[in-house]
Amino acid sequence: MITEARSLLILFALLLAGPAPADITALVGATVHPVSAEAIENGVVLIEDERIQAVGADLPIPDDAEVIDLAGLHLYPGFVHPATQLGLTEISSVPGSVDTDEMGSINAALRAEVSVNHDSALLPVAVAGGVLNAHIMPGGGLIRGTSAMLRLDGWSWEEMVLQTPTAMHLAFPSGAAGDEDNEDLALIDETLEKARHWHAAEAAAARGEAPRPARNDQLEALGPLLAGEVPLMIHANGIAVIETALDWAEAQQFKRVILSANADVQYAAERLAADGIPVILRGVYNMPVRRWEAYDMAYVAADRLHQAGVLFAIGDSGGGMDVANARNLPFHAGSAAAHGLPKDAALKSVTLWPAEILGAGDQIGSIEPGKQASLFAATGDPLEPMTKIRRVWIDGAEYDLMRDRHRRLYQRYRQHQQAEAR
Amino acid sequence: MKRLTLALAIAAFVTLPALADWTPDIEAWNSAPPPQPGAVVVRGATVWTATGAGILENVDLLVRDGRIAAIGESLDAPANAVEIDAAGMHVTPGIIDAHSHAAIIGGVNESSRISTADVRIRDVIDAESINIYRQLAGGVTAINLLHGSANAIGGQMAVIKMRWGAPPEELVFDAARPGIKFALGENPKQSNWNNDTPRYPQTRQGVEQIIRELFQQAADYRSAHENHPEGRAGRDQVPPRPDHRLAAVAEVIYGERDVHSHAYRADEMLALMRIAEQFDFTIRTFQHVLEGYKIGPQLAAHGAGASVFIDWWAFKQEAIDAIGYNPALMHQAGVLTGLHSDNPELARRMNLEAAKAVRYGDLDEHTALQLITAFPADQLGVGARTGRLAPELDADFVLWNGHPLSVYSRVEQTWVDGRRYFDRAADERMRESLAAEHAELIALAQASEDESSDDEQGNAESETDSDADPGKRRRTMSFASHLTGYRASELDHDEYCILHDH
Amino acid sequence: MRIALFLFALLAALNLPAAELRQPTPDVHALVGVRIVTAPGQVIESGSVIVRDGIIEAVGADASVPPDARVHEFPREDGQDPMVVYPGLIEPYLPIEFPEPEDDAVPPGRHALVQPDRRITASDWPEERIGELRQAGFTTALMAGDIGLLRGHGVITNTGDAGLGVNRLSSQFGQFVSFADRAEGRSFPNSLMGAVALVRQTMDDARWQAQARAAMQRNPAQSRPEWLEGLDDLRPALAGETPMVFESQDLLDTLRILEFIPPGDIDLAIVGHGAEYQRLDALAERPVRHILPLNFPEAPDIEQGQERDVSLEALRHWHQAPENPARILEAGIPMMVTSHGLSAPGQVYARLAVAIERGLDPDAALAAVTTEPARWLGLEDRAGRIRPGMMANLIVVEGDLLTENPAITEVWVDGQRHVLASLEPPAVDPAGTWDLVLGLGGMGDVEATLALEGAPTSMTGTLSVMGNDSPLNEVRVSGERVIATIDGGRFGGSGTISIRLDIDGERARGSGSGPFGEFSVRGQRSARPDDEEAI
Repeated sequence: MITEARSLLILFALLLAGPAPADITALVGATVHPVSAEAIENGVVLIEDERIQAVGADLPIPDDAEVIDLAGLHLYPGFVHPATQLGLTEISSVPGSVDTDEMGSINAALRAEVSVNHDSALLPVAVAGGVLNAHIMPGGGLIRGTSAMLRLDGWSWEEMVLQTPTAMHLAFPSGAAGDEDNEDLALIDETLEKARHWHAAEAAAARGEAPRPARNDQLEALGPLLAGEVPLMIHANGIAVIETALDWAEAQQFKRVILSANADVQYAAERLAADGIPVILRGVYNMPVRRWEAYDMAYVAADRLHQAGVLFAIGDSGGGMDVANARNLPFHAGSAAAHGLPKDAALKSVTLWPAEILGAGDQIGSIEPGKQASLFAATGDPLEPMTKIRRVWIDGAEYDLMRDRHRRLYQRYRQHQQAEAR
Repeated sequence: MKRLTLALAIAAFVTLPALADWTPDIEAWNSAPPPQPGAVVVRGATVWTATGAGILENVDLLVRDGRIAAIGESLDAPANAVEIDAAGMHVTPGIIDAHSHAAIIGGVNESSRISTADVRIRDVIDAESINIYRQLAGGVTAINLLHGSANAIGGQMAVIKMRWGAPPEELVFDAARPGIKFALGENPKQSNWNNDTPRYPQTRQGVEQIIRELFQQAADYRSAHENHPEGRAGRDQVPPRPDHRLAAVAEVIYGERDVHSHAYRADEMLALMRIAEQFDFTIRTFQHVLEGYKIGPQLAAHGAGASVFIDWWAFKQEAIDAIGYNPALMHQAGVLTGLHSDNPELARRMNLEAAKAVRYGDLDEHTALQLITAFPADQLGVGARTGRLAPELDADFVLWNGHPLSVYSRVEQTWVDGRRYFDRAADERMRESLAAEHAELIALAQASEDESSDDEQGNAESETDSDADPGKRRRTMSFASHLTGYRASELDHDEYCILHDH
Repeated sequence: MRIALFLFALLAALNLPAAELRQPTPDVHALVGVRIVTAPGQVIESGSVIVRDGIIEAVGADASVPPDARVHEFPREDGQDPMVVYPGLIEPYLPIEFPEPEDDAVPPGRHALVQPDRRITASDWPEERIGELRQAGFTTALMAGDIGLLRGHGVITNTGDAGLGVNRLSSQFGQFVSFADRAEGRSFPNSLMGAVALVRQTMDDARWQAQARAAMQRNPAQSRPEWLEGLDDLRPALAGETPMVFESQDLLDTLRILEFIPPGDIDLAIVGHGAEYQRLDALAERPVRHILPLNFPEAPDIEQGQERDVSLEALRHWHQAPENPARILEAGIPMMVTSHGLSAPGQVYARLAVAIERGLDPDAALAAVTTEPARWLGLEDRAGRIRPGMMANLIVVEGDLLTENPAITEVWVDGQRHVLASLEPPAVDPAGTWDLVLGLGGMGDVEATLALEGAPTSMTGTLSVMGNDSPLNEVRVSGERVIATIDGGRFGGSGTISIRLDIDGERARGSGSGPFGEFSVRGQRSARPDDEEAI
C-alpha cells in the first residue's frame, strides 16, 4: 500500500517537476484548517515543490520528505487580500515613495503590478500577519487600469504575479447618482463606445475587410474587458451611487462585474444576490455611513450580504494607513463575526472567497491538493488578534519571518534591554 | 403653510424613565441621562479587575450609589438592587482612551503659533459628538481630549467621562490632573505641511531650543507675578501684564500641569526629558512613542509614561521604526504604558488593540487589558477613581458577551458612574423608535413640500435661509467624504498627525 | 414747493446740495379713522394718531385733529375693516459689513480681530439695508460691525432715509462679541479654541490696563506700562454699564458663552441660533436675554427611494425649530426677535406667523419686535409703542401685522411717511420702452424714458431724464403695477425716489415720490422687446 502510494507520488512529482528530485515537505502535528473542508486534528499536509500535494489525517509520509512538526499549532491557508495597494507605497507622507494614484481620467492601459516594489518593507510585515496573497489595484482617475493577484514574495514583481490582468477598475463617479448628465460618466461611456468601435475595426482589419485602425493604447487595453475575458471591478460608495452603478453596468451588458463598495452595499444585497454580482466589502472597521444609523451598521454589513446569498470578500480601505496594516485584514472578518457573520464564513471571506471572486480560486484560498502551498501555522484562530503566527510558507518555500523589520527590531532591542537590565 | 403638530416622542422626558425603559437618543440634547440605581449587582461574571487581584471567575460585582461597593462570591445585595445575570459574561473596567480628538468642536489644532498654551480644549468640548455614544458602545468610559500636534507647545487638554446626554461642563472629569499637549518631530517642524509661510522651527533641534526658551520665559513670568507685592503696595505698583500662554507653561515647569507630548523618535524624547530635568519636573507621558522601545530604561528612569498606537507605522518617515512589540517592551522596562486610539473609529475597538499586545510581545491577557484601563487612568491622574474594579472606585465598567480581548466578543452594557449609558437592548429599542420617527417626519416633510409647491406665494417667500447662515464657518474637515449627516467635528482629527487618504 | 425741488433734482447736472434749498414746511400729520395697536395687547378700535415734528402728539379715539395738520385718511370700501396702525418694529441686531481692517491699519500689539473701539460712522451707513428694513416695517435698529471677535460698539438708529446723522439715537450701545471669526491661514487664531483664548486674553488685558493705569496715577514714579489701544473701550461692557452682546453660532456656543461670562458684573445678551429648544433646561437655569433669529429651516429635499439620506437630525430640527420662540418664552428666558439670518427682513412676519401657529403668544410675538427691544435699548420712552411723546415710528397695514404676508402700505419714521405697496403676483408684462411725462405740478412737465427688461419677476431697467440715464435700483411688478426705485444720488439728492405705474395695456399712469416731493406719471409703451429685436 505504502509503496504503491509512494511510487504514485514519485510519478506525480516527476510529471510535475521534471527530472529534478522532488522536494517534498510534510507538515505534521498541526490542526489543519483547509477552509474548503472541516478541520483535521493532527493532520498532515504534503507539499511538493510549490504545490499542496495531499491533505489528510493519516497520510503516509514519504521517506525523503522533510518533516516539520507543528504540534500545538494550527495550519491555515494564507489570507488573500482582495483590495490593496501593497508594494505601490512605502511611506505615505513621502511622495517619492508613493505610486498609488495616477493622474488623468482614463488610464485603461495602466498595469498596477509593474511598479510593485518587491523589496518593500511593508510586504514582510503583511506576510508575517498571514496575508500571503494580495490583489494589487491601480488608483486615481475613472478608468484606472488593470490589477493583478500577487504572491507577496519574489525576487521581482514578475515572480510575484500569480494572475494578471485580474480586473479592469472603474471608479464610478459619485456625481452620477441622480444626475443623468454627469460629465464623468459621459466620458466613461464615450470611451467605452470608442473602444468597442476600435475593436470592431480591428477585427474587420484582421479579417482583411478594412484597413487597420490607428494604434490606441487605451482603447486596445479595454479589449479584454469588452470581450468578457477580464471582469470589471466597479468602485462605488453610498447606496445611491451603488444602485446607479449597477443600473449602468447592466445597461452596458458587461459579462462579469465585481462591486467594490462600502458598508452601504448591504442595502443592495438582494439585488446583488439575484444578479450574481460578487462584492468586495471595503472594510468592517468603519464609521456608520450616516450619523443617525446604528453604531454597528458597518459591522453587520458582511452578515447582511451573507444572509442574502451574496458572494463576498472582506477587504479594508486599501489605501493610506491600511496598506501598511494589510496584516489586520483577518480582524475585520473576525469583527464581522462578532456581529452576526458565521465564523466559517468570516474565515472564507478573507481566504477562499476573495480567491474565487478574483479568478484565483483554483490556485489559492484553501489547503487543497493542487493549490499553491501558501499557508501558515498559528497558535490558534487567526482571526483573533491575540493569536500569534509562527511559521509561513509561500508556494512551498518556508518564509523567513525575520525578514519582517518589526521582528528584527524587536529582537535587537529586546536583547539590548535585557543586557541593560543585567 | 399650515404645519401639523407631531406628537413629539422626543424631548419629552418630564420624569426620568425607569432603568428598564430607558432609551438613549442619537442626539445628546435629546438623550436623558440613564437613572442611577441605588444598588446594582452583577452576578456570576468573570471579572477582570485590572488590579493585583487579576481575573476572578464566577464572582459578583456590587455597586452602590455610583461606586463599586464590593467584588466577591455570592455577595449580599440590597433588596432593591438591580440584578444582572452575567453568567458566561465578562466584566472589565471601562476603557480609558488617553489620546482622543473625538469630541472637539471648531478645530483640533490651533496651528498658528509655536506655543498655543493658552488655548483650552475645555472651551470646545463637543458634547453632541456621536462619537461619545459610539465609543460607549465599544466600552469606553473616559477619554482624554487632546489638542493636536501642530505646535511644540499645544493647548490644554480636557479629560471627560462619557456621560452621553450631559452638557459639556458635566462631561468634564474633575478628578483628572491638568495637562497640556506638547509635540515633537515632524509635526511641529512642519515637515508635511503645504506651507507658504514657514515658521520657526524647521528642525528637531529647533523644537528643543524653542521649548527651552519658552520654559525660561515662563519661569521669569511666574517670578514677576510672584514678586508683585500684595495689598496696598501692590495697588500702587503697575502689575505685570497677564499672559495666559506663559502662565500655562509656568504651571508646567512648576509641576502643576502635566505634559503629554506627542513624540515618535527616541532622540526627541530624550531631548525633552533632559530639558524637563533641567527645570526639575517630569514629563507625564509621551504620546505615540513609536521608538519608545529603544529607550525603555531611560523613559522608566525619568518616570515618563507611554501612550501608544500599537500597530500604526510607515505613514511618515518618523514612523518607519514603529513596531507592535513596543508596548510589551516598554512595559517590561518599567514604563507606565497604555494604548490609545487617536481616532474616533479605532476607539470603538480598543479591546482588540489590547489583544494585539498579546500577539506582539507576549504580554499576559490581564496586563494587556490594563493597557487600556488601569494604566491610562494612572497616566491621567484618575487611577484612584476609575480604570480598575475595586471597592470605592467609580462604577465605570463594561459587560462583554465573551472574552474581552476576543474579536468575537461584543459589548453588552457600559456603565459610567453606576449609570448604564450603553445597553444593547436599549440600543435596539432606540433603533426601532428612530426608524418610526424618521418615517413619520419624512411623511410630514413630503406633505409640506407638496403643500408649498401648490402655493406659489409661499414658495416665492421661501428662499433658502441656509445661505444667510450667520456663522462664518471655515474648515470642515472630513477624512471620509462619503459619510453623511455628520457634523464636521465628529470626523475631525489631528490633521498633522495622520495623513488620511482623502 | 417740494415738487419744485424734485424738478430741480431731476436737472441732475446742477448737482447742488438739496439741503440748501430746503424750506421749512409744517410737519404735522393726523392719521385718522384707523385701528391703533398702541402696544402688544392694547388696541384702540377706531381713532387717530397725531404726529408733530416727528413726535407723536396724541393718540386716541377722540384725539382732535390740529388745524395745521395734514390729514391722512384711509378710505375703505364698504364692509372692509379700517386700516391698522402699529408701532414700528425695532431690529435689535443688524450686523453691518465693515471693510476688513487692513493689516497695517492695526496698531502694533493689537490683533486685527480685536476692535472693541470700532463703531459705525456716517460713512458706513448701509443705505440699502436700512431701506429694506424700513420697507419691512422696522423703524429702529441696533447696528454693529459683523467681523472680528470683539466687534465694537453698537449704534442705535432710526431707519429714515437721510443717513446716520439724522437717524442716530445712540452711538454707544453694547459691546459686540463673537467666537465665530478666525484669522486667515496660519495666523492666530485659526481654531475656535484659539478664538476663545484671544477673547479671554483681551478681556484680561483690558482689566489689567485699568489696574495698571490706576497704579500709575497713584504712583507716577515707576516705569510706564504699555498702553494697549482700544481696550479702554471694553470697560463699560466689563463693568456692566452697557450690555455685552455675544453672537452665538450654535447651541454649544451658547453654553460656552454662558460659561465664559459667569454671572457677575457683565450684562450679557446672546444673539441666538434657533436651536435653543434643544437644551432649554440649561438655558433656563440662568435666563439671559436672547435675541432670536427666526431661521427656520426649509423642509429637506427628499428623493424618492433615498429617504435614508435625509438625516433624522435635520428632519427633527426642521420640525421643531418653529417652536423655538414659544418654548424659550415658556422657559422664562427674555426674548427679542431679529430678522438677521433671514434672506429679507420682511420674512420676519411669515416666520412670526408660523411661530404663533406653533404656540407663540401673538402679543409676546409683537412685544419681541417692539416693547422688548425698546426696553433693552433704553428706548422705553421713545419707541416700541404708540404713545404721546414717543417718536412717530409707525406701520400702517391692512389687517393684522403678524401674518404670513401683511399688506403694509406705509411706514413712518420720525414722522416721515414712506408709502409702500404690497406685492401681488405680476399680472402684466411691462417689458419694453415707455415714453413718460412726469407731471411736476406748477413747474410743468418733463419728458422721460423708462426702459424695462427681463421677466416680470426679475426686471431691470433704466430711467432717462433729459439725457441722464439712471439704472433702476429695483423694479417689481405687483399685479398690474410697476414699482421702481432710483437712487436719489443720481439726481443730486439723497434717499430713494420711487415710481409707481399702473399698466393698462400699452398705457401707463401713476405717481412718484422722493425725498423732494411727489409727482404724477403718465405715458405709453413705444416699443416691446420684440420690436427692438426687429430693429
